[in-house]
Amino acid sequence: MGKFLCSIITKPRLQEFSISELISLSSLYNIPTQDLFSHYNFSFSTDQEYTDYFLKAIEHNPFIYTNIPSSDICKKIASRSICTERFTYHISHGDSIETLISNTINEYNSNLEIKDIISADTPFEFRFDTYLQKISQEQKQAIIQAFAPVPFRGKVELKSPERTFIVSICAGNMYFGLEVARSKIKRTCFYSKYNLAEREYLGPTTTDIELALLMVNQGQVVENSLVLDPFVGTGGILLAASVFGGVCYGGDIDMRVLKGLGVGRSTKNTQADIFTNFSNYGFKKPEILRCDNSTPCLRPINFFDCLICDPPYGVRAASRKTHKNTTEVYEGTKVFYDLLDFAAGMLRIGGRLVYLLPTERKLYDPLGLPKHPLLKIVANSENVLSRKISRRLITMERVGNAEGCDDENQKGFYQDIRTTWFRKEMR
Amino acid sequence: MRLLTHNLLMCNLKTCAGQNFPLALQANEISEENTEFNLVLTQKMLGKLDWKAFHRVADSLGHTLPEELTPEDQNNDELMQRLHHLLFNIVVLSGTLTCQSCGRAYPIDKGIPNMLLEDSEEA
Repeated sequence: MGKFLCSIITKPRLQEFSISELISLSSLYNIPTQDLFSHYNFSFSTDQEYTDYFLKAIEHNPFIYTNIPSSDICKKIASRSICTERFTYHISHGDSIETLISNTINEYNSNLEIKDIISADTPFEFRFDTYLQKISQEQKQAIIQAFAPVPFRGKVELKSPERTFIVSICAGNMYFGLEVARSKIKRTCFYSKYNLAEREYLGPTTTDIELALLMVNQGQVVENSLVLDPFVGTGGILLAASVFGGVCYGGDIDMRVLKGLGVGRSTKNTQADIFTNFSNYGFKKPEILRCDNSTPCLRPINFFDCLICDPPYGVRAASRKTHKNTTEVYEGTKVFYDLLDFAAGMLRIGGRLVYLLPTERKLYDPLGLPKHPLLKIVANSENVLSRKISRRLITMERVGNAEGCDDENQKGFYQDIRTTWFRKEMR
Repeated sequence: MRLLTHNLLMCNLKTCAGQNFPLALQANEISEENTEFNLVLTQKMLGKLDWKAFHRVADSLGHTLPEELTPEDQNNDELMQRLHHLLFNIVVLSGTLTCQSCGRAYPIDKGIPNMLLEDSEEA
């Protein structure tokens, strides 16, 4: 196992999801959370405790030691992650430039792998990654010069270096390492071409690509995963699932969205519908159904690997349980009854349900989260939208056997949410 | 609607429970897509398909498949290619799906099956 320094993205809006995403992607590559963080001298029993701990820690220091089997896996994670910026093979740490250099020399003398890295005869460059502070060109020069006693053998090459050494600086910590994976190249992310502005077909509530990809990462979608969005709308989430090779199914109650009439619209004055973006990007067309989740029309044969959705709670888009064009408001919490029951029948064992849940921050109680005997919560990230309101990204895993949650209890929980989270003015 | 989806759909009237599958397919307009052969995905489907229903719907469109599958069939490249074609490339653009128990017909329009019930039908 290797010691890699992971630098977490510093955009506040995304940071809130970052630890959950890192844990989810690591587990996709078979790294249990306790192993992932085994370089720390503490351990927790649940993922949620790790998440809470590191979310606090990265507010001051976005660099986390991760224990990942190989640089290849770091590359795989970085190639699809929204929240990790870079992985470096960790060489040394210090609280000042002097200790950083002396620790680097110690590592060089005592660790063969590090000796090989430093003394490799390939051209390299130095780069700096700082958090909450800026360093001047002169300071950078001084740091590079301080590395003179370290016996590098390769040439310094700024135009086309084969290797990049990174000095990461944050809050009295200095880290030195060799870059093994980076998610952004010249400010372009792998998902830039999927930005909403690039799409021919859009709706007013189309999920933005960063959030959609985060959800897909929570769902661990890979090549040939069977993915269903039962509130597909204009297909923003399924488009993100297609990026990683998901085989997509979407259901919606509103024919107008699916067909590009009224709600969804073309951005280019063309005849566009839900399939348009998929063919523009060269993805397989999703299978689309017009259906009502309260009367399921898909056989409950545990067909899907993943259900991902942003259910209409009546907060952004009016939730409707309609036939034809008559409206009947789909009561906020009824969406849960239906969604969780539906997911339990649709998901294979080990499959994941990922959904967004708007909450009133003051009234939020983790015990009040929707429960189902066959679905276990594996991640729960809060994304603060305003002082009062936040939304949570909930990930649940389909388990094989019911675990101590009988029907009566469940109804009690739902009742609670109905009377607290969904007050009239939220609709 | 691809034929794979036909294998998943059932009549959602509660009174049809137990006899709500498979729906009889009447295809009025079919298009053939040209997605690349994907052996892993096709093999993955074998474990999920209701073969009898799939056999029957393929037959109704003029494609004859073996009555039963044996475990060795998943290594039969020719059969897997045909299956992939039937499951993922044949798209029903318009037609109807009819419940064989209650006779309710669900229309398929622009490739999208409409599985919604009327208000009066709710069980």
